[in-house]
Amino acid sequence: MDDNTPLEQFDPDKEKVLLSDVLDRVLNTGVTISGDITIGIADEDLIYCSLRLMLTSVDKLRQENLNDSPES
Amino acid sequence: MNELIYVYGVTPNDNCEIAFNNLSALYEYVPESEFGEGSFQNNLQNTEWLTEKALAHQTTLEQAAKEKIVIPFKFGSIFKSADNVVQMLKEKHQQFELLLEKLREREEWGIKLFYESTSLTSWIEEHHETITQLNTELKNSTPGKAFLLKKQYETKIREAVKAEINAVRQQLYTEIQTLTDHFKLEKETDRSLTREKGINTLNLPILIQKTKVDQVQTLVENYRKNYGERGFSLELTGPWPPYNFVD
Repeated sequence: MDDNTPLEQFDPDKEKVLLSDVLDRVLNTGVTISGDITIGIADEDLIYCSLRLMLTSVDKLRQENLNDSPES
Repeated sequence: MNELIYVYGVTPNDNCEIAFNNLSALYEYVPESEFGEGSFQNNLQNTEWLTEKALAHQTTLEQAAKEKIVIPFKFGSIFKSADNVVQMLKEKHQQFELLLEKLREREEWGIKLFYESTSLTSWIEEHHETITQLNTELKNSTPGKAFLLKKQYETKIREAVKAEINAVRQQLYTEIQTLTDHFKLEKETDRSLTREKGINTLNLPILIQKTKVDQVQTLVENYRKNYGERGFSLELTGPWPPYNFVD
């Protein structure tokens, strides 16, 4: 790698959104094949929903912590 | 230890051991203890496990896509034996061949349009002709009249905000369409997940020729420049494995 390559800025928000984007795609789309072992579609939707809820609550928690932290 | 086969996707034949005609499976052996019917169902409830495996699914497909066309499978397509995978390739080979053709030299990208309500409202208050007029009138009115005008003013603003969102949304949608072969209108992302960015009003995965990615990037940049001040923002992500275009 070139030594002069500037280090890209780390953006924690971007990271988080990408994760939810990845999950959106990986868990919700792609070729659905009835393999020998397949997860029931309804099951998977439920799991996906609870994962979404988890991401949401992590996000809320972060937001609240930010709000609680003193100004300045 | 017993092993199962996790299939990530299908690629053109590259002399891999699980193949049929000109198709190969992109696969990995996984332990039955983790991916067998019962344990897999249990593991799915474990968000940490699920997140890790979902990311691995994504990474594998991303890596493979650097060298060849890949038809991505949905998370958790698991087979008991190589023979069963070959059987599946055999049964679906016509569909897969058509898909490979559709995906050739193309990538999936994702475009999202967001608006931030407060900025959009203040922009409209300053720039919308009817509304600025009404505002002036409001300031020069007697209290009684002002009260009524205020109601009218609020309604007008709500209407104008809605009209503006839909105009920008429709325009972006139309312009993107002219650049892509395939696109798919997806449900907007949950508000609680996009708090900092505003409200997601368009979520558009597109399948685009690699040579046209530049044009999409320019288009998105122009929208940022022209509509940023009004409270609109855009997100362009990719290239993605073509998850949305393989049904």
